[in-house]
Amino acid sequence: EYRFHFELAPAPEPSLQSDGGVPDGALEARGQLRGRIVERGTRKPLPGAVIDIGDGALVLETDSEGRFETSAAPIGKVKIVALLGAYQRFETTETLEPGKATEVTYYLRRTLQGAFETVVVGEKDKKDVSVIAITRSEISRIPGVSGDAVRVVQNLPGMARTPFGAGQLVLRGSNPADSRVYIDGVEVPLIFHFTGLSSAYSPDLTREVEYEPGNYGIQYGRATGGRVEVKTRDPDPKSHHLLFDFNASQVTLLGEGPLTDTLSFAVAARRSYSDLMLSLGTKMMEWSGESTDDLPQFSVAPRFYDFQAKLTWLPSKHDAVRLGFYGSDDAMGLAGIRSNATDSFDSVDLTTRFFRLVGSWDHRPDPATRLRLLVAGGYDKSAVNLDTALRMEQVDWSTTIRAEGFHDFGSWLTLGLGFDGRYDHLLADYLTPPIPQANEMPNSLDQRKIRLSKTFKSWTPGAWLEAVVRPFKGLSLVPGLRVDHGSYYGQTWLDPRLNARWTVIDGTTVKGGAGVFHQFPNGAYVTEEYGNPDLGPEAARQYSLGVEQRIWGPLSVDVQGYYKQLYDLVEPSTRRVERGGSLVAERYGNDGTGRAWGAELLLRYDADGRFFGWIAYSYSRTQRDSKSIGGRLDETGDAYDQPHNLIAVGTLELPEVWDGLSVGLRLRYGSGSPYRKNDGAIYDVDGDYYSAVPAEKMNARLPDFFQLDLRVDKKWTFRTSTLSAYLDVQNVTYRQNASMVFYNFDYSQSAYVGDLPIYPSVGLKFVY
Amino acid sequence: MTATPRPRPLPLLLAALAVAAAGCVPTFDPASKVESFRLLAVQAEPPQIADPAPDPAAAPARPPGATLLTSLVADERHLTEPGRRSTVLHFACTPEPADPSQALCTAFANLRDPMALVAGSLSSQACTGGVPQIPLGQGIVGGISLSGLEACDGSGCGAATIAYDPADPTRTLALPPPVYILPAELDLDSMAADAPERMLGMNVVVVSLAVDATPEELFSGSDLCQAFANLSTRLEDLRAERASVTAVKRIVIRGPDETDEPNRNPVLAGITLPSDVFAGQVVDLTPLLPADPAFQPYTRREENGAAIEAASEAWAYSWYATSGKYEDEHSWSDKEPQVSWTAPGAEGSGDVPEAGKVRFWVVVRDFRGGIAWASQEAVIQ
Repeated sequence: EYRFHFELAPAPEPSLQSDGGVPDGALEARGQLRGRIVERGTRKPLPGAVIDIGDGALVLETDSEGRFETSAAPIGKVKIVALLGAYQRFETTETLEPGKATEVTYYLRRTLQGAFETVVVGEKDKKDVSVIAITRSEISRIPGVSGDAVRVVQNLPGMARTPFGAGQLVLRGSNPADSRVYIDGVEVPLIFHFTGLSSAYSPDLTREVEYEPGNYGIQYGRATGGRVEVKTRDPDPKSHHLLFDFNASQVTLLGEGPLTDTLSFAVAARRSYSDLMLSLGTKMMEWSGESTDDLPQFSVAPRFYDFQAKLTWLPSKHDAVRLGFYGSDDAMGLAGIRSNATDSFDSVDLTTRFFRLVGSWDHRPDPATRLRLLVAGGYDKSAVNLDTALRMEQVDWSTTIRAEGFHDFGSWLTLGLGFDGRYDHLLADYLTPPIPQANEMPNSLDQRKIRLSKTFKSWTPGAWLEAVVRPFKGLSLVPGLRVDHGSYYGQTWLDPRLNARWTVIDGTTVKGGAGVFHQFPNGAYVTEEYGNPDLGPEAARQYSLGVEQRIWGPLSVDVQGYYKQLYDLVEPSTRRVERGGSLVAERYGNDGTGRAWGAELLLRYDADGRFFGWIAYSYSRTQRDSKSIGGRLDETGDAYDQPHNLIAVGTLELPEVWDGLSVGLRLRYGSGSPYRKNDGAIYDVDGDYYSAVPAEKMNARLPDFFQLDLRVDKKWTFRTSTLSAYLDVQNVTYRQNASMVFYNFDYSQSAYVGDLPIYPSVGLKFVY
Repeated sequence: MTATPRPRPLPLLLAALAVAAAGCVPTFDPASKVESFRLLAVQAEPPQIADPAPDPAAAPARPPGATLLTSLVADERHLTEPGRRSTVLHFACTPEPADPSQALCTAFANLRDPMALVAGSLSSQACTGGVPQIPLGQGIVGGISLSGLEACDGSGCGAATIAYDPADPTRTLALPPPVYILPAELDLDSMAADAPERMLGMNVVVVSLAVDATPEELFSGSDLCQAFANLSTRLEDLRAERASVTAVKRIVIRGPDETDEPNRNPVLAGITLPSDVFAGQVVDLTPLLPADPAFQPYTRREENGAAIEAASEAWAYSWYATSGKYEDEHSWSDKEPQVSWTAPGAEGSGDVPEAGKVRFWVVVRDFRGGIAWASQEAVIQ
């Protein structure tokens, strides 16, 4: 989409020549003037700006580098005006002398959100498959996301609300573990740091976030849910930048710029200082004479850090070589925990850490062919230690290879072929109690431990073939076939998928998709120690149908319906089977079924310089046919069956009030999550605790959720830098939303556990 | 890409910690405060039983094949009504060696309505000449059996003598103390040589139903058979109207290959506390142990029975009181066994009760099935 801005100006006289000169004899004396037009604050070169020299005596236009030059400028004091749509008129006076070159740089202040700014939230026509892509340009000013573009996915249709701090992705009723998170095509174990308040990859180096809650493309697999992918941006190849971002919970530093004409770099690091805040808070309590005896003692105070480094080399117009190294580390340790349980642990240590080293090469041997090769090495560590009660530590060294190629066979056919494989070398060291039996009271006398100390080597190659068929203008059919194999699981499957888009008339597009999706079961379920090595893959059939309609100008609507059939889900089993010549408990089987269905609406108003925002509504239902209670390691999606979710987001620029001022709000309303009311409780005499007897089905629901967030931003634009300050207040009405039910010791009384209380955050961001 | 075993246990734990850190968790009266009818413990003496050894001379010697069941019922009203009576019934589910995982007494489906379970066990009892043929305490392999009934008052629980005929109070039934007897046909020695249960043993699950009703209210009829026939109906009605607790207690059936010495119950001699307690006073309470407390050694084992490490018992003490406030509800033998208790009359510890007295209980557990308790009363000055 393009928008053009016109501005009336006196007709140039004499007429402009293509080289910026004037006809011979038009001026008797001439001066040399050359310079650049850049954006004030960011120093971004501005091509296409009009330079009026001497009240129309000479009119020039900047080139692709924002440069202009003339040797035919009038001499003496000369008025110079620079004009470009979406920027304030720039006017100055230069004294030009004959035979002397004058070099200038003019800084244009941006007035509107750029007329050519990428649409903030919208359907991205990616290989003719509908993907919602979110660019980071203005999205960071959305309230409630603390300037984090990645967290914006939490405000889109299809995403269920999870408790504060969980940071899980529950997409279209899938289990949280059934969706995958990628950074530039490489899977990472988490997208959010603990508390869920920050993404694990710096939003300042994020180009866009792709969000596919279902029916995702054939290039990805091994997941029955959806996909979220962070696409990183290249460093600025033209100028150097520094960024310092400081807010109530974390600090970010970033530097980027060119190293050579073809090589540029970016480095960034971020660290939370909640550990320092906690320490300060404790000291303040001590100084004021308050007791700190009841506070938890942190052996490792909660903190996270992440870092990113990226090199981009553009040796030719046809090649791009990128090398990235990034990582994330979350840790927390609690000691001296005082709980009211006899078998309690008094310390907890949690660590989640991952690093990725990624190299990629994009090559276009000819205009019709695109090739990409990506190789990544990964290190993941997760550790959970609950005193001596439980130890779960694992380190995974992985290698990811992606190779893909597309070729256009004319305008009607594009073929794509790809390979997507991963090798894991995982060291697991577990010493845990057995997983409690489903449908039974746990056995407090059971002091048995499961010890799993093994190295797992697994090769999971996948290959795909895709065709984009355009039989007539406006219609794209994208059939694809994917095959995946897992050497550890000994499983292979074929996933056929079909997506289609048909632009019926200009502004109206009908779209749909159908496909089969498989995934390996949770790894622990297939170990001999915890589960059943004979488990097969879990599967889903997904169907969706929708329409995109441009209503008026920046206003458009996207409506989709979907149905997802889940089968072969892993379920606790009470069967006994013969294994290794002995009759043993099967523990788990592929007996589970379920379904999810719903409709999603996204009414969006694209950025027009004053306002942008959207309303997202999801009607979402999800069910599992399981009759098992407990006995699992992971949550199932039906725990987040929230029929109604409405999110309204908007940001308004208010330059009339104060230049650089904007205000935004986010409103969320949704159904509460379901839960099982207890049918009483049984006192476990040996363990000294009451064990709730859950109802057979989800038979109750938490109260509806409502939250209003507000944000105010003020941006000061200096010649070569900008300074932004913001106040972001989540839950301004201080509503006590319920995130779960909490019971007294014998389950005879209950109350709701509150979600996030009011959470103000103040930040400063300086960019050079 | 779940390529290899990668359980993801963190999110909810992190959410719980985040919510707790945000201070959004509601508070209730603690379990240590005994304000109404409560069942605090059930002891099996001994806590571990075994079928007879094929070779009686083998060491270590096996424990007996039967165990006595005793309950600890607490009620604040006993301070003023020490003779107030209540009842505890014990039923036991015996496992089958062919299916050690059978869960008759632990399945949620059965525990939702334990009365159905109880009624089923009683309805099968034969009755001859007005006298029920109930082998009290005798376990039934793969089934549920009645172990007995206790009458409880302010002095404790014990064998009950019940005047079961409302028309003739002289007609009484003296019941023996509740007991569980291992059925002779349960032969763990016959299990397969590689069965983990040969080392780990199995559990008898006792379901204890405590109800704030006298034995006579539960057990009444013109003859004993009718009284037994009415028992499940009376129990169901009374549980609906009165305070009641359903509890599960496990008795360990020793594995024939186990090498540790048989488990014994801990021993508690009492509670050390000042003779006079003043309103609002902060008092340290300590469990009083015998001169040489027996923290037994044992072996921690894997699920398949393989030894992990040698360990020594660490006991946990659960503290209760009818008023006041504990700083901690539990203490441990391997840490600081004493707890701090604030007498009523201080901020946050409630008002001094009208009775002017407080009763303390401490229950000790070895987490291997062994349980003991002590109780003491104090006057608040």
